[in-house]
Amino acid sequence: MIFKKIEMKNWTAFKGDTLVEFSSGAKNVTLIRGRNQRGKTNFLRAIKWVLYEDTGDTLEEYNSSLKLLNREAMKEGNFSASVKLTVEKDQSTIEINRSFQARKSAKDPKESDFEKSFIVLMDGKAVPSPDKFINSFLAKEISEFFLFNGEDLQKYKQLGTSSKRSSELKNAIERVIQTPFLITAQTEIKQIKKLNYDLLEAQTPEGDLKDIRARIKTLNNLEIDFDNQKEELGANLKTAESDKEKADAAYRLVEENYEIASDLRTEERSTDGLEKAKTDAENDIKDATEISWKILAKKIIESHENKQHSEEKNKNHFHDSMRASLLKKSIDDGTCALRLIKLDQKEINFYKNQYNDLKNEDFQLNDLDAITKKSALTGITHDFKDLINPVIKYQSAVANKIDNEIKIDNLKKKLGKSKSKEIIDAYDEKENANKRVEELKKAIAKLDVELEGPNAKEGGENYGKIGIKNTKLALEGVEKEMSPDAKSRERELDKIYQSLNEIFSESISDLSNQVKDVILEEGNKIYQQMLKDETKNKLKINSDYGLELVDQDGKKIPDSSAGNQIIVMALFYGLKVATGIEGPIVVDTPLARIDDFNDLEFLNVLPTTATQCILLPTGKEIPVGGPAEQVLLPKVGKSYEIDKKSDQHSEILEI
Amino acid sequence: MSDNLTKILSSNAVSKDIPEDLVMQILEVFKSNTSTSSIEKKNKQKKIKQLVEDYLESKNDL
Repeated sequence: MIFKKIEMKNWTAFKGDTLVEFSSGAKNVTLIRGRNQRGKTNFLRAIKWVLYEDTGDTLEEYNSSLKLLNREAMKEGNFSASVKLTVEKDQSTIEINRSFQARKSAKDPKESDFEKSFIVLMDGKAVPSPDKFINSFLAKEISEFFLFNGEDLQKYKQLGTSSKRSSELKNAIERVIQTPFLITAQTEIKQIKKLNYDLLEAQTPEGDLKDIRARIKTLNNLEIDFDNQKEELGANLKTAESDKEKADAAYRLVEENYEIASDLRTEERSTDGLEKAKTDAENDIKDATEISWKILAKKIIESHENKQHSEEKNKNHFHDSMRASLLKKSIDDGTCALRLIKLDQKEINFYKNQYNDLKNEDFQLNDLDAITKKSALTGITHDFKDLINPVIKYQSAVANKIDNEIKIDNLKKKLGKSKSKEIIDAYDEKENANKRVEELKKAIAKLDVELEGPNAKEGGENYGKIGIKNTKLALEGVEKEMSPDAKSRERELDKIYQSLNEIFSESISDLSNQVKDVILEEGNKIYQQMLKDETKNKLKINSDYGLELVDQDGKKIPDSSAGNQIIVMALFYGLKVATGIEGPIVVDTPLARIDDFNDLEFLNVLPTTATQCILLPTGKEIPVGGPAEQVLLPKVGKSYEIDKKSDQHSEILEI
Repeated sequence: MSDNLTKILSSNAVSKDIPEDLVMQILEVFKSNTSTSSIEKKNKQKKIKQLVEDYLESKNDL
């Protein structure tokens, strides 16, 4: 991957349009010389900004639109700036465009008035998620290893010093080599392994397992009970249906006479009732008659005692059998039956005469007409209505009874030889058989509902057939986990997790060691090439990827500024080789920290450390016609000079 | 670097008698989702457990 060109418009000190094409191939060095304050650092910032929208400066102002927009252009009312970097990668052309401009309405724009735009085209087509796309081949986190300022080289020497910066650099290196993914994977596997181990070690009390199994057994029995009940009901239904068929057939044989038989049964059943009604009516008459007679008797006695009317009244008031019976009893006892006083002979004779008169009376207890007639004859005013109703009832009962007897007789004649009881029994049998079938069907339907559960179709209920099945499955799952087989499975899983843990753990270590080996090997090569060290000193890498110089006995050599810079360049190069980063390096003031004794070798080797080398030296670092330039010239394909026209107007001119 | 990482992981997987694919799939779970939320963490653990259990089942089937 190489940078082809950069186009800037009103970018910082570069007013208007600025185009810089980069050299590549055999002459892979692009030299852009400029004195201090001419815009070298702003040029480096342009590359960082177009790639990451971050100039790399810690000062916020260097990332604000107002700061990055050329001031002269602003004064002229031009409030837009842009940077376009063209990159060639895998035979594709990638154009990275980033710009900002103030809203048209803003006359004196503030930071919030600027609108930003970022478009990446690959072979002319817009790339979705351009930030991610750029990070896929020029990850921001490693950018400081190929876009840097020579002045800052010193900071990389801090690797391994336990400082915050050291930690950041170490993390950046580890992110490049993907160590964090391995660490996360290992951490999570350890966690899963622990959970698995806890499960493996968890003691399963024998009682728990027994309880689970007992519950499963209970549910099994419940299922069997349900099935048995259903089976039994089904068998009963079959029998009942068979019985029903037989009963239906038997009934069909006598069905034509059923109505008569049924009527006969009704009549026969009512016979007793009618008989009873008749008896009741007779008793009612007796009761009513007796009451009536008693009333009459009382009146008779009263009349009898009344001397003034005795003859006349007695004659008229004596009444029938009651009178006769009272008289008879009084004569027999010699005591008045009503008054309970002893009668003298005269009175007894009088009673006898009365009694004899009455003996010839013809009186029927149930003869209403006779009663009425007698009542009228006696001349005693008496209400017989209490007697009339029982007599009417009696007459009706007698009539009903006779009617019943006639009906029974007629129905029996109609039935002929058919036996009424058999017909009725056939009918009852048929009805009962039908009823039994219906009851069984209902019982089966009810059981089906119970088996399915009220909401069984919704699933998950702990009742009904599905509920039982689900609960059983859940319990069987628990039993499986508790069983010795499950433990065996957990043990196998534990072994796999253990192996995975070791694989990731060892890979983290292997990866780190491999990277360190490459850094050390390549770093030492570069170090030797740059420094031409005749001694047997060599670089040693520490656990935090920091390089330090040691003598042949492994004793640390005291730091020197120049040596440190070369060591850091060695680290960069080693890291590039180890991580496979491909691409240009852009170095601002490359010799800032390199002393005169080493600068030529440094410049000689530097272009070999990357596919493309864009250097931004001052004239003092690499003077025109000087030895440093002579060293570089064979590799320089493009050379530029930054000219300053005013404080806010620099131009980059190709030489 | 990806090649180096793959080679290292493969080599260590072979030495532990674990399929390289399983190790790579597990690594991919973390590379494809870098979220550290507790829900995502659980999801990742769940995926890994499933991968390992599937492997154990296929191993036992053989």
